Amino acid sequence: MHTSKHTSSLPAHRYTLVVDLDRCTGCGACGTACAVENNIPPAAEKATERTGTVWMRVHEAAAAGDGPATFVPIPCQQCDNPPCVDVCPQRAIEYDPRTGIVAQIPVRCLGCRYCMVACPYHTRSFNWWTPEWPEGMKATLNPDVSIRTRGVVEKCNFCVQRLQAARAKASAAGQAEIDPADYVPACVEACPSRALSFGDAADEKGEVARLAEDPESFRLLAGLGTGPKVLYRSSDPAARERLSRTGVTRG
Amino acid sequence: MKLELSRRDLFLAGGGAVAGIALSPVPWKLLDDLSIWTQQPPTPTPRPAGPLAFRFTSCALCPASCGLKARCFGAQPVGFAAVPGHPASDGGLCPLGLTAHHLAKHPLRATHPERVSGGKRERIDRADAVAALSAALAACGREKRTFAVVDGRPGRTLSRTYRALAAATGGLYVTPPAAGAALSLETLAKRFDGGALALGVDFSKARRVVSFGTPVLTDAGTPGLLARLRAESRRRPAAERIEVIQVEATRGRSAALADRYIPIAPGTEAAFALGLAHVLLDEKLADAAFLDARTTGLADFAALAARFAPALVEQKTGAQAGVVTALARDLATNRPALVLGGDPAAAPLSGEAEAAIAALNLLLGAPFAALPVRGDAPRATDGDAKLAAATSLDALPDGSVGLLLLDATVAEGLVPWARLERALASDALVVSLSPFRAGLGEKATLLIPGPAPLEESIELDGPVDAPFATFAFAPALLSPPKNLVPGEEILREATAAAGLSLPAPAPGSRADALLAARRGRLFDPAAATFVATGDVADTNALGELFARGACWVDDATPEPKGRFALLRDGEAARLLEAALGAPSSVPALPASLPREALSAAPPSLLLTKLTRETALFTPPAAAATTAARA
Ligand code: SF4
Ligand code: SF4
Repeated sequence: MHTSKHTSSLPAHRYTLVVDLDRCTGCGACGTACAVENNIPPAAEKATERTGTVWMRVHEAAAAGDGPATFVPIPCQQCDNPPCVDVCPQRAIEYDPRTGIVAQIPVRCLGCRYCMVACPYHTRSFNWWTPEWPEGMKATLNPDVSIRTRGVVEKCNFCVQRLQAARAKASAAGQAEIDPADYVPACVEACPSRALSFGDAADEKGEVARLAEDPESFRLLAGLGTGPKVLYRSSDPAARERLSRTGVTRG
Repeated sequence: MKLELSRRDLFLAGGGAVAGIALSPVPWKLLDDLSIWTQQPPTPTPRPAGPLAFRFTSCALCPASCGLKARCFGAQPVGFAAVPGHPASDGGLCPLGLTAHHLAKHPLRATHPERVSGGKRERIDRADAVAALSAALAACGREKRTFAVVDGRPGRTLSRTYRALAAATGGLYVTPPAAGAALSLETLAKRFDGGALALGVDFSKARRVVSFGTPVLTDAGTPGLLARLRAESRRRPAAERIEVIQVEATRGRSAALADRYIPIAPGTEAAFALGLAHVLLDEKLADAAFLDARTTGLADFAALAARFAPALVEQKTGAQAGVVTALARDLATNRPALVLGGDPAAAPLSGEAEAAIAALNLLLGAPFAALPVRGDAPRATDGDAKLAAATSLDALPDGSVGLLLLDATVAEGLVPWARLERALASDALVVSLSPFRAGLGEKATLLIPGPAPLEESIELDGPVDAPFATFAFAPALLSPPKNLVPGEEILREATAAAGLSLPAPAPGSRADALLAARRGRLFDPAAATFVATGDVADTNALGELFARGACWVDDATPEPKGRFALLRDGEAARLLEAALGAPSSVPALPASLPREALSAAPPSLLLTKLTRETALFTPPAAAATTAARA
């Protein structure tokens, strides 16, 4: 169990994503759904490979040998002790003590990219180019998410706009708590092999809290003490050992 | 008192002020405000007009026909999600389907007829398009040159028009050949003597799936279905797990994900399958009850298989003899097991390899268990109209076709352009009814744009390798551009101008046929419930259900009487020759987005981006073994 240095205790809600590596086929539906939901622009023509913005990266971790390949979807790990927060001179990153979500605030970001250096998971990207939407495609953008101009750092925020919508719905109905079914990030909703589970780990009876206690669950780079709230699960002890020790580098 | 200020005092006061400001929050506040001010988006995200609503339809990008739940503002969809419990897709969507709403605005979208000559593309008007097409149709009649129409989704109301056109011009109506798993099923079904038979694949009933190159873990059936079933089974005791064994020369993505990957020399699938058959028969591991009750020609087949001892198979394929023996024993112990072959996006397996795979399925007793009998969605009768029957692509003689009409839904992966090009005469006109200047639309000498995906209501039969038939009348979510003239209208005008007559369109005939058959159930995606087709009052009620994105699903089909032939006349000699022949060269497989090869539309730009910026879709590697031993 982790406590955050940004709060005196654990947040009331701890939104957690559990990725079952046994089930992930690396189909890319999570990344596509993420890009559609969060208005991530298509790569500009001048962009060279892997320099654009991507919030949900899917990495092929071990396919060279004869064993089955492991695909590792990597969004922001939503750390409880996020190193990115401490290094931001602009306070453009905030750890929400109510939910545990590490929020990126684009309008404050100066683009100094200290956070990208501090993040051991390489989950942040700098948007080098002004988003260019082909003629007419702007109409297909999600109106709940703003378009970011170039020059800021971007990353996954667990589709926090969906949480806000769920809160608005609950408050309109006079309920104190949201209905968990109303807050599901786009990647989780899209996964055809049901490899992703999402929920509040503070709800001890919930599926995610159970998965978090599963001996087959682990965290990437567990030794660093960043306390990620993205958990991975694999029935292969070697994969667990390797990934929790070395993580997956960008590549 | 006189205040004396030296220059030094001024410097000290100035320096102190600067230091004081620097230590105060002021500069940071200014920096913050400046950054906020400079980072304000020039325009906020546009909000499409209209209230938020959820609408349902089905994806028409590939034969899987997955259910789509669209989040719309007014008439504009801004995102998709899968429909849980949908009979065609069981809550799955692939990356292509998730971006279907971008395609109408794709940079390669065509909205006006275009003529291509000498590599130059020129926009023409409707009258010119009609004139060019009617002249070509008339020339076919006059100069006795063949007209051929290729229809990607046979069985639609529009297909009837194509068939009538082919009949009126004495031309050919061509449908895509069976590919991948569908080809294996077709080969097997043709060996049945109990009447026409269609088989599907029910992965949920299998414990072992052997795939000779079919991308079963990435592309077969609905997205991720087998992968999901296999992963779920991993948490069960060993005796209840589903395992996938990929046998092929190229380590594609399905091979990389499989429980076991057995590399073999390219073109040696028949030898490997006969090696497995050898072990099954030699060690009396085959399904004797099934062979006795439902097959013929066991003695002849056993004599053939006897020649393929594992040692010989090792020599031919490069796979070790022990691996062949172990796999055969494993398949026998872990039935139901099934075998599939061929990649729809790459070259199909040879007829001999498919024959060996069919025999292997019979030895394992796969038909009617993991390969259930399935029906087809009811179709309208042809009526009195004169309609051409479907012809295979291979029936087109080289250089014979003077006018080729390609339907919008034809994907290049299913109808290889190289094969079509061979059939064309040197001065042939290629007309593509396509919304895109991509895929087969790019090959057109006359491009007649049609509605993009989601812009037309379309009849969707599910994939032919699903365990049961499905049918959706997918309602349109978008309206086509105002100036777009439907391709069918241009076609009808050109036909009339060429002096040919076509039967009137018969909308609704498919729904009538469905009601008349009184089979199956209808899934209502909004309510996530089923109603029996027999309980639907009339065509109007059915139309309303389909307008809400409903999907019809067939009942289970009982086992028919009859027997499968393990070998056909004279086949043993051909099989022997093919299996003992030299391996071919390594097939080159391009890295591709899942199902891209099957989609007639270009991928959304977002997908291209993801391909470049993640480690997904790495090119497949040729296996290490391969022809070294051959
Ligand atoms: S994964 Fe990186 S970006 Fe996300 S909270 Fe942790 S340190 Fe910050
Ligand atoms: S492209 Fe095919 S598999 Fe993908 S969502 Fe559409 S119908 Fe389903």
